[in-house]
Amino acid sequence: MSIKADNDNYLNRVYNEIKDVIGASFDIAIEYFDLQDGRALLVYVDGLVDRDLMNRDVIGPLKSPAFKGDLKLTTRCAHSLANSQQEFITEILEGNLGIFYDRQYFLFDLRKWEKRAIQSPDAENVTRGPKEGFTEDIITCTVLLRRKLKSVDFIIENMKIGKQTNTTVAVGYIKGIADPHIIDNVKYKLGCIDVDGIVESGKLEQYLESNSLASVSGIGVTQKPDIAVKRLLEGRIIILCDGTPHVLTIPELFLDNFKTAEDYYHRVFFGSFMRVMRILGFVISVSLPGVAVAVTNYNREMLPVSYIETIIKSVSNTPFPRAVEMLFLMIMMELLKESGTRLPKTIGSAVSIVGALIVGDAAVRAGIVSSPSVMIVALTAVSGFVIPNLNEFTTIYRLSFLALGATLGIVGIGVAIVFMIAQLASIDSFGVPILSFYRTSELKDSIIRFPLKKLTLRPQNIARGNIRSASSSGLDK
Amino acid sequence: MKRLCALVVAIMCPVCCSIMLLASCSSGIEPRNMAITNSAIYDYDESGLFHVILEIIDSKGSDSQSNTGIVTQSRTSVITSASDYTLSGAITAIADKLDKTLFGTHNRIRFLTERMASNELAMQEFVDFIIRNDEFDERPLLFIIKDEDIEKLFKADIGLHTLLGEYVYGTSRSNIESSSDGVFITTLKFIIDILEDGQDPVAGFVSVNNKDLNLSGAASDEYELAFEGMAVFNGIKYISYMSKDDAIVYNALAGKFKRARLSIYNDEISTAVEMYEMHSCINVEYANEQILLDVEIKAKLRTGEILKQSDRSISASNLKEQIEILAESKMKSMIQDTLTVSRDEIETDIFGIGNLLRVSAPNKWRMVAQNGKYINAMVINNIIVDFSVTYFGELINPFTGD
Amino acid sequence: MRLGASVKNIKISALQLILLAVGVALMLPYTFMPIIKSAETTRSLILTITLSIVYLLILDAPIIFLMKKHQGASAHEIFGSIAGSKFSKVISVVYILLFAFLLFSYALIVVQFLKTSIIPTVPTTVVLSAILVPAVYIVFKGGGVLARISVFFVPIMLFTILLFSIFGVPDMDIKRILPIVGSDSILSVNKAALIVATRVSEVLIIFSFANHLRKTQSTTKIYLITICMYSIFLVLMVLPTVLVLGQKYASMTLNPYYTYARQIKFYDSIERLHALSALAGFPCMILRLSTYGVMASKMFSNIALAKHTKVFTLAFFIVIFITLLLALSYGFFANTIIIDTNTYIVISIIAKCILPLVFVVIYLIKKALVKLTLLRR
Repeated sequence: MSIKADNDNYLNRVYNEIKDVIGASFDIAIEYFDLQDGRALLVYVDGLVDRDLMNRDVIGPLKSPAFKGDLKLTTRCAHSLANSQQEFITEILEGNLGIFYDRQYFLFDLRKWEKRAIQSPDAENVTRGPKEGFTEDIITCTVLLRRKLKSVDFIIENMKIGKQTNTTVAVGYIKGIADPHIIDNVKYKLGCIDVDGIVESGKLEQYLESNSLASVSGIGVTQKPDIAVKRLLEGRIIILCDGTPHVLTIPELFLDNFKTAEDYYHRVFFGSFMRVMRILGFVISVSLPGVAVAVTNYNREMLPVSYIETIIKSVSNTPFPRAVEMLFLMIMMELLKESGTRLPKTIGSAVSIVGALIVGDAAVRAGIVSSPSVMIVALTAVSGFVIPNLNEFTTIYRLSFLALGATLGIVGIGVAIVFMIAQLASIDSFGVPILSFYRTSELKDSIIRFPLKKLTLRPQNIARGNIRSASSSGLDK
Repeated sequence: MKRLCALVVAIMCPVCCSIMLLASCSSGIEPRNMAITNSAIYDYDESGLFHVILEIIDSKGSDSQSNTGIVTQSRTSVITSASDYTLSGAITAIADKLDKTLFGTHNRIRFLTERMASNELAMQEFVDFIIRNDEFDERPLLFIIKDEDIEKLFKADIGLHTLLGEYVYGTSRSNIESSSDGVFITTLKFIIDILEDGQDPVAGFVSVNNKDLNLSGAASDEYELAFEGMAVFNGIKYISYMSKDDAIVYNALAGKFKRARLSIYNDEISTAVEMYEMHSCINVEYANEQILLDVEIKAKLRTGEILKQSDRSISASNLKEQIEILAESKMKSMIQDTLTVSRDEIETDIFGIGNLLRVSAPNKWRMVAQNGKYINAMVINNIIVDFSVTYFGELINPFTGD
Repeated sequence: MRLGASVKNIKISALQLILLAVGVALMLPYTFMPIIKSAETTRSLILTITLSIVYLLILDAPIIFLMKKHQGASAHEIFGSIAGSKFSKVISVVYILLFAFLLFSYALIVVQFLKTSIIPTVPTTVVLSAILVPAVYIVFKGGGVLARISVFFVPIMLFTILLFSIFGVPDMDIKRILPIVGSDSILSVNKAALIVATRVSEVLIIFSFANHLRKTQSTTKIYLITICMYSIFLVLMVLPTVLVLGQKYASMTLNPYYTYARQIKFYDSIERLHALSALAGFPCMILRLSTYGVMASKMFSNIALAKHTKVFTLAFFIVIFITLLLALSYGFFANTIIIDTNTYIVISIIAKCILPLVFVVIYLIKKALVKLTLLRR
């Protein structure tokens, strides 16, 4: 038998094998491709490969008379060779163009697919600072990071997670700043994830956290490259997951939830003031309904005479106890929030208006709830919006504060605070307690922010080895 | 076994928590079920009955809004009373009547009738009740009221306020700020003074007077309240009432003085001065079985209108000097009178002379304290009053029309 | 090394330990203030407090000596190295009982405080649960969490004390503590100071947690800072209370500091803040209860397998709960233990002074014997 016939047989066998593995899908093209001296097999996922480039740089040159049988020299784009058929198929599913020719598996990186443009993220809007946000495409995300962090020490390691999805997950850190133990720990934990698929970093977050029942995970989320870079510079590790713009940052301290990128772009007093406001918003959001019930039902001596007079008058005709009234309004508020989020933007805002104005006002007029309760729940809701990252946490604890406040008055509030703080104190994010903010370096950037010139140290708990981030003397010159 | 334990714990925890929450929820009192007290009157009669009258904030009272949008408020309280052989019993009886839970921490004012205050046993029970009770506590201002005035008290004019308690409380503050001729003492201070060595307590005194209808126009209330003077105690027992000048002296020597007016006159001028920034000092010494008392007062004066009584020309410096001398001598005589009355007539140590002796000479005090009427041994050694006119207003010399 | 697991070996900082000890120590005067209630306490309050600090240093000397000689060692290791492991286990059991008593008596005070002043209408079982359940939760979480939360709660409480002492200034009357030396006999003042000093047993906290310190720091220094802070804030609590309420009135009331907080009124705008004072103090009350719980469970872990500690903690608190419930239903008052009888003083002095003193004596004898043997050789 001639060599050519032998090659053809082999090609057919490979064709059949590939067809058996991935041929059932209509979007996967497995085609024979005639060349001057024989045949080749062309395999690609339709839509993931740039057809124009394919025709111009690969198919065109191969069909031309210049092709003398050396595929490497003829094609006009970068290529690589897969070692096995399995690797060949995996790479094709990643979006590469695969050509089987001369018993070799050639791969051409001609990936191109439809993706969302770089936009400003909805959840982390800023008035000052970069507006760009991460996208679902991991390469775009790494590009955004690389553009800001042109350091040889910035490492992005990637790995595949998910037996079926084969999702690309990248771990980014700055060598020499990030704690190697945490890096190893993160990589170990990521390697341990054995699931069918990961499509969003929220799922990844839950596999990484040490206590699944904890109210906060100790893992931060951001959609903004500037925040991610700041976290990297503090010695944190980021995890990018292909298919989601939400980038995870590790470790995340509880106080980080109150920090925004703008804090560092604004003047120091305003930045600090806004941070205090956010903390106040958190306190109000968690405790106000509970405290209100506790104070009026148990410790009303705290209220001035004129105010308690008003409260008595307003609640004298409502049928429910104060705690039930508050619970009813809180449930209403959660329903409104949920419907506002799920519905299209235009209808969503209309629902909010209907809920807030019409239902609230009507409920007061109908004597179902009292107006102070409406005001308290509305204030709670508004305060909650200040710290969107802690939405889940505040919602759960708000209910606990209400239940305990209604049961034990101000003591119940004390009990709730003890539980909340004890739980937060028991959570550690990869060995770093999330409530640790009382070291000198961390205090300067905690409840208030010191001038940037004074922030010369990285958080000691996070960047354990290399904590100096700037030379204060140099900055003062 | 482990799983079973975990299951039991998982079921029991929420069940226990729910039971706890439900059991305890009922112990909170809804605002609508509260009867908030704003002022209280305590009386005690010969038969041993305590009578308690409470002014309770009316939750049904509504503000009437006029077309102009101005809210006009009427009296928003309910007056209710009950009697019992104990104070707590009387208060419980009121709560039963109202079908509400009485709440006393917003009680601003506490009135005691003269007959109750002068009964030692009743006062002991009262003080015990106040210290023991966490709601009807020691913060309200304490006033003594004449027995016959109780009926009129709630008919008296309460100005722009809607509650008697709030009115009295507001008046107390304005009195301290402007005239200092009334004494405003919290129940706590009263009790502390009872307990303190070498100190007799005082309390506020309220009198209900007939209103001059000609001056006040078509007033709806027949009476008005006056807070001048003070009630004086010997130990826990009420002794007597002292005048408003005595109250000014008491406030001045007790350091409670903010501002007071003094009318002074002689053949040449007559004026009213306002005393302010007053500093007082009492020094006590014990010698020859006598408690020697040195009083020193310094204050600044501000003149009101000045009326020239004679044709003599008065220079600015002369005027200043004259006013100062007149005011000093008036204040001196007021202090002298008050101290003499407290020593000779009512025989009580309201200025805490004994306490001062205890601080300066503890060993001598121990000796003196054995004599219950040690105040009789008080000798007024020296009274120094140093006033300085600092402000005349826009006009230096009296206006004569010439 | 198993990656991803939280660090089991608890490490706490010196600041955490100081704040924990100070917070726990101040809670007794915060709720009960025995210093002005004892019959022996006199008008010479400042003198009594000053002398009590001297006595405190003397009484705590044995335990400080033991810590200094065994830097970085746990209580069990110290006892074990001095008197052998068997005796050490016996001592651990004794300490568990002592901690149980301290926990019981303080829980009694807290219930009394809450039931009389804050939530009188709430059933006793609920009040007991409200204080013991969070305490158990913290004990389950361990000493590390206890130390971490102390950094959160104690400064708030200290700040409240400072703030309330400033707000009380307009009502203060200096005559109420004068004359400083007073007319009391030296003996009575000394007796009062000694009693005050015996009630402060917080050196045991430093003793229990010293081996968990992040860096090997001088425990003596930590102890001295603790005593300084304790003294300052004790004065900031006791003095305003006495200056405003007067000593006689303060000694009559059950919760003098709360009664003082009730009087706070600053320019008509800041008033009715006493519930806030209770709210700031409440977490520290839980902190004190859980500290005793953690110390007892630490002692238990010395004599049994570590995996049984949680079961022990649960059982320990259930026993305390039932005992408290019985004590309260029989009308047992905190005064009985703390003031009227010497029970609290005796138990406290055994725990913090006598037992450590026994070990110091054994240690010195052993050392002397070793020296003698060496000399003979």
